[in-house]
Amino acid sequence: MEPILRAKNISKVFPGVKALTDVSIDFYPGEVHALVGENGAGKSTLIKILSGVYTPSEGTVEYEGKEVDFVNPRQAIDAGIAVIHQELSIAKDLTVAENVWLGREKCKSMGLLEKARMNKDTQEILDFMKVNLSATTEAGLLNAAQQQMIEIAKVISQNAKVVIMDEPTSSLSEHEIDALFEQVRILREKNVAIIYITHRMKELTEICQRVTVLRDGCKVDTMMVADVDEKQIVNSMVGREMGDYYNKHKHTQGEEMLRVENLTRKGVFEDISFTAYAGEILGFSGLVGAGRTEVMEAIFGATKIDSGKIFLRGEEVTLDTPAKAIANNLGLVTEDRRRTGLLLAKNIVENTSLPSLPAHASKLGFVNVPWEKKVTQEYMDKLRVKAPNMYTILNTLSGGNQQKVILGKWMAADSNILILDEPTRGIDVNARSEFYALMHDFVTAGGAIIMISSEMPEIIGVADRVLVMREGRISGELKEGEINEQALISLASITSDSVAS
Amino acid sequence: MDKAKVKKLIGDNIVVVVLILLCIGFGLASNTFFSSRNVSNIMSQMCQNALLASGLTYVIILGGIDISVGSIAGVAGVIAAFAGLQFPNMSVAGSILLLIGVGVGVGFVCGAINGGLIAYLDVIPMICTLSTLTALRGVAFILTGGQPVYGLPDNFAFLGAKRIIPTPGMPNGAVPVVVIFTVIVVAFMHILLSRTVFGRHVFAVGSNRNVAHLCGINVRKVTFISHVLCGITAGLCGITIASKLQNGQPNAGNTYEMFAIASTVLGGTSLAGGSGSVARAMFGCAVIAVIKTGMDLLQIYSYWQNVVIGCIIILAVVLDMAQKKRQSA
Repeated sequence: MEPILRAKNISKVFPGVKALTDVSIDFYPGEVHALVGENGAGKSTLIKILSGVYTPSEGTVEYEGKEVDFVNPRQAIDAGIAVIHQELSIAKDLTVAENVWLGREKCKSMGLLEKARMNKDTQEILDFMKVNLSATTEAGLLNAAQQQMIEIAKVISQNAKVVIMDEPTSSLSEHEIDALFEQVRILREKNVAIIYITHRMKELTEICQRVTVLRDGCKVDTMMVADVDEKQIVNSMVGREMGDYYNKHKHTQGEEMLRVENLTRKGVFEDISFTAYAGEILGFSGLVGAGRTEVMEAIFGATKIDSGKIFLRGEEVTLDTPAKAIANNLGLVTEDRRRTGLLLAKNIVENTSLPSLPAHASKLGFVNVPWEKKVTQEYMDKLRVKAPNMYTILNTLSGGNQQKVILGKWMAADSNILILDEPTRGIDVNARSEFYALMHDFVTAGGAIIMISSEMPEIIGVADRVLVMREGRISGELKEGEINEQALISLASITSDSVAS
Repeated sequence: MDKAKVKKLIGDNIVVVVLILLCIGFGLASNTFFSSRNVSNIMSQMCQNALLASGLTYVIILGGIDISVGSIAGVAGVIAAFAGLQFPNMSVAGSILLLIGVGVGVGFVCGAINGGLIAYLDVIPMICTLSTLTALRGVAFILTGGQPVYGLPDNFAFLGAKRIIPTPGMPNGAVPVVVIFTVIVVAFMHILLSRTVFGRHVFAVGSNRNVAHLCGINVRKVTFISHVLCGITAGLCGITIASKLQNGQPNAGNTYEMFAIASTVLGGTSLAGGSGSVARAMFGCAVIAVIKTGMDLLQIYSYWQNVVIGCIIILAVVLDMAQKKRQSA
């Protein structure tokens, strides 16, 4: 059988990062081909190249035996390569049929829409899919699973020959997943090649025929699912060499700083209990979407909790606003620097002093300018922020320096419990090791750090103790000496066992 | 200084450059433009607009807008006039107290309505203040039955119409009282914005609400207070109009919001939020006032003046957007 789509020796280089190195994969019609690998392994980069979002730095894509060079997603779609993204792209106020034909509406002369025909065609597709949906229903009234059916109907209407599905089951319940798999089988019968990205090992055996494992931007292996078991696949996902830029230090656990008991927000995270100690970096591992960020936002008072207790230095506290958390010496370094971390159009002084302004203001509410200058200079020196001066606008700094400004902000606010959410994302290697050293200094001085990271080497290289989250719950704790990729993956992955239990 | 710095200095202070150029231009075109009478005239004409713009600056920095300020001014003026009728023998001090009391009170209530809807019920500022613009104008007409409120004592006009400090050329006084009053209010608004923690919080919320929230700022409260301040300055604008005319016009302040928004934007306050200054908005007010009086002196048909002002607003907004794009690139 001839492959319909071939990635040949594809490499992709971004400034400072090599995302893919010499990856070659063949995709066959009528087959479900799984792409697995941990976060950052290169799966998304690969599908973006296949679907025309990125162009490869090296290598070629062959489609139906011919070399193709898509410069935008539209060309890929027109050729018959469709993507169903994890975040569905449904216009909620339009009907099912309008969504299916969005951007490709059928028109009569004069540009008038052929509504009836589009409705009829859509209904035929829906009937063919054997789903009980009306083409004229408003999409916003449907649930996530039904909206996904719209995406599939769209793909069928496009006569796509290759369908890329990016974690399609991540927001579906168990029985909705069965309905989705039914559609995957229908697509297979239509001889469509399906590229299926997933973190759930049990889905491989259920619907996939072939699986390719990616690690650090390289292809590890392509296997027939029938020939291997889950364990072998997980094994091939791990086993990378570790850089020594973490420069791991041994820390001594000090007094209890933060204790959380049975923290729950329904549908997001449940029954979260843990303790963070002074002098320790506590790692939070798990897949993206496991609920780690949400737990930390709730502890910081940025979102509400349904139940549970928070203790600071042994005393129960209510942290229902960030202001209260800050007053209790908590600091939160968010995952998305640009969206939730910094005032990008403002200077270093304004960013550094922001959370501590009220505490240092005069009686009449005037800003204490000498103090804010002094403290900004102090932390710019201490954290070695590279900028012309303290009035430099944040927008013009590198990611690493921006991150240092955020760290300085919380240190200036006298934080002694720091929550760092993916602290080194988008930061180059040198800035990273500098940042790790600063984290080390912080805990050595008696602070506590909670670090969320989706990068396993970072967790292994930096954390003294690790909690792993899976689907909104803590699935396990790893102490010094137990922290390795094997253990982290098996606690984080949704395997047959964990779903069954 | 090198070229780049000069360029930046001019870029940052473009409104001052425009103001100087306009003054030179009108000065050359009309020989009465720089007369002390005309300068004093321009200053007192600026005052109402300056009061509105000083409060508007806050809500525009937040990324919002308040187009109801003209109507708030109308209601405040009418109520001040009714209040003034109760005290036919009012003293100068009494009239000032009464006017300021009514201006602040009415402005507070109207601002709190806008602020409450916008900050706590998440109504879009444009829609919210469009509604209050209509409703409050209606209130002004209902209160007066559509007729101006006449018969106010002379002292009522002290704040808005009198001049003090006589000079040989102007025996009735060179400095309008309303200018002094406006300077005090504007100075207060400027210092509050540029020197206090509250002012910083306004900038933070306007720059990025999420960041502000995570830095412990009560975003809703900051939004609410800013709208209240904007309401109060609008109320104060209304009482200066009533005092100047020595009556209460239900139609007073109509369409003033356009000039105030134009002044604020000309003064470099970004409609996208996050940056701005009350002091610079005053230069924007001066530009508008100079253009208006200059066109009067040149006897340009008043309908054309509106067209010119409208075009200037568009130009200011386009320049603002172009600058934003350059910054983010």
